[in-house]
Amino acid sequence: MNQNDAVTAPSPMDSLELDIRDLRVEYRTMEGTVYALNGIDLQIPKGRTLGLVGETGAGKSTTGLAIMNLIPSPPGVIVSGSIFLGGESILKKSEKEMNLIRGNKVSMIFQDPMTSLNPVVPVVDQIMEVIEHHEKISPRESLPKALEMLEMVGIPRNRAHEYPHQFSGGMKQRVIIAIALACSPYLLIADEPTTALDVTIQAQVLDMMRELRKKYQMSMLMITHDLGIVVEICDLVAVIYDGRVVEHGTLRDIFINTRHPYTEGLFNSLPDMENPKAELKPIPGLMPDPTRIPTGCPFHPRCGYAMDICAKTRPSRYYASTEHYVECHLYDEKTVVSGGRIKQ
Amino acid sequence: MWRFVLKRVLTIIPIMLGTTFIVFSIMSFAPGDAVGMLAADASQEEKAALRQELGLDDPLLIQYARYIKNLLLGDMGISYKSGAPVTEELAARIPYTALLAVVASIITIILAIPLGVIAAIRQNTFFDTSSMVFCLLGISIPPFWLGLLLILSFGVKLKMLPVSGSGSWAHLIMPAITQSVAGLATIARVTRSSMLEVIRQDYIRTARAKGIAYNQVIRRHALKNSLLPTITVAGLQVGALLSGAVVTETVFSWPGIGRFLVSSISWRDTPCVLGCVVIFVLTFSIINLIVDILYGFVDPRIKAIYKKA
Repeated sequence: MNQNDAVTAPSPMDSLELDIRDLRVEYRTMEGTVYALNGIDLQIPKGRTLGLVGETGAGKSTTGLAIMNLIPSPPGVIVSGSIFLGGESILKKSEKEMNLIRGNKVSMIFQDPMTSLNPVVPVVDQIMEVIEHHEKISPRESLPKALEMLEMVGIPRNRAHEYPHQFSGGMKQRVIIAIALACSPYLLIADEPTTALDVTIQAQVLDMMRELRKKYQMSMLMITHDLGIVVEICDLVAVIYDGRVVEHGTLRDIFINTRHPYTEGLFNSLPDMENPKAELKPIPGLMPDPTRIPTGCPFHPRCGYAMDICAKTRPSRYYASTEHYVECHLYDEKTVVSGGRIKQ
Repeated sequence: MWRFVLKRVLTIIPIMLGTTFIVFSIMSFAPGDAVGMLAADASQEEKAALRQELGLDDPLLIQYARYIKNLLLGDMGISYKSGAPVTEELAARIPYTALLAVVASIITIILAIPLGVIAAIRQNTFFDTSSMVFCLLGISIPPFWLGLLLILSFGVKLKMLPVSGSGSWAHLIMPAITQSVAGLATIARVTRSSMLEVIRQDYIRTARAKGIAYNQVIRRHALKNSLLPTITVAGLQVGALLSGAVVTETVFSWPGIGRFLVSSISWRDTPCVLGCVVIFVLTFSIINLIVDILYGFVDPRIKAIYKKA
């Protein structure tokens, strides 16, 4: 870690709900090794929400699965790094110990509600299962709790014994949220929770998540590629590219004092409300093939600001404030504070 | 639900008419008849009289209509060969075929499903590869050849088991193995591939994210979902057991319907052949109906469709 951070960090280690340091994950397949996470760092202070933003294939979901210790293995391998959840090292836990943590201290909501519920089990049973497992109680005792959870996410009791196919997408996602929150986790990982839903339902689900976050006072990792969702729900933002955080900061840091060309590119890909006729400026090209990562800064082949040095060495991390940092050759200790060539 | 069952039961009637008519026609068109076999030494006049007595001179459709009319009254006719009622002949043999089929089915289901499930969750291990090679062999080996090999090794060489016939549990072992191997192999392979598909589903990941141990996730979430294709194939395989009975019972001289069917065909004993066919078709139809009803119990989506129907 950068010394800067160690000196001026506002929150001591013990108030971090999630602390990921230098995590590297590879998928080793017959066709080659996919470098999914390349030294990612993420910290979420207790009670706050971090948005993890990036393109498809940047390693967002892998990060979520790594925290759950559910990376499919084979082919997934956690090469190095550490994940601390509430001060406890996840990667040192046995499978048995992990099963006491998953769904209890940390829960995950998955992207596609259509396929994330078991089609042959009534929805209330799927909620009861997690309660029974962690609270070690009988079905008779867990049923009222499960019904309460369903009501809290806005599903009437009389539909509790129906099957997932009788529910709409939005209702299924509510059930999945009820499962995730049933044991009041300290950290909720939401992997694109609204991507598969239509816009009006998205808003309802987000509203609900915001309320529940307050009620349970939990920390949240919101994985998304939708900057609109980030504005609505997140306190902090980490922009990741190629399995590494390239820019990190508060909402204001990222949206107003943008530093990294990739972050700028993400904003330029959105339509401008004040000037709707302006042409969209999408980031040219695609994410690099994760089996053959470019040398230097992995973004340099697509970057409009690229210099000679960008292809040669990885940029180091510069801090504009304790929370706002960027990894880009455009900056040094001074210019990172004053802002460089990227204007907002 | 009950309307669905009733509808399915009613479809058995046309199936029955169709199969019996086809078999009836084949028996009539096949060269030679029962009279030629039974009274080979009799004079032409005696043969003609016998044919008239048995009604073999009548047109095919009339003969068939007569058979169906009697069948509806519960009369399956008289065996040309033994002179005994066909119902009695069948009643004496059904228990043997049923015993063999039940034992073979139990062996099949008890071994095939765990084999398929374990092979799937330990994909690409030695267990998986070796059991799938075994299954490939099981599907490829013709039952009559397997039966003969078993007789040769365990019966003739090792003298561990009786070579043929019935009467004790020891007599049952080799026929039951012969009958079950092909079905076991097929069902194990289907279970494996359907399990492999299911354990990659998102809801399995959801269950694991709850903190449920992997083995329990398999038991509570994956198994039921993977059973649909297994049940389909198991139903067909139980049907195949019936046709397999023809071969197995002949090889092992097992006194069941299969062997009776073969000997009845060679004696041109049409009432007995038809009797066997009626039993086979009825059993097969009922098993398929049970399979369809089971679908509804396994998958609520299918049950919903049944209810709408």
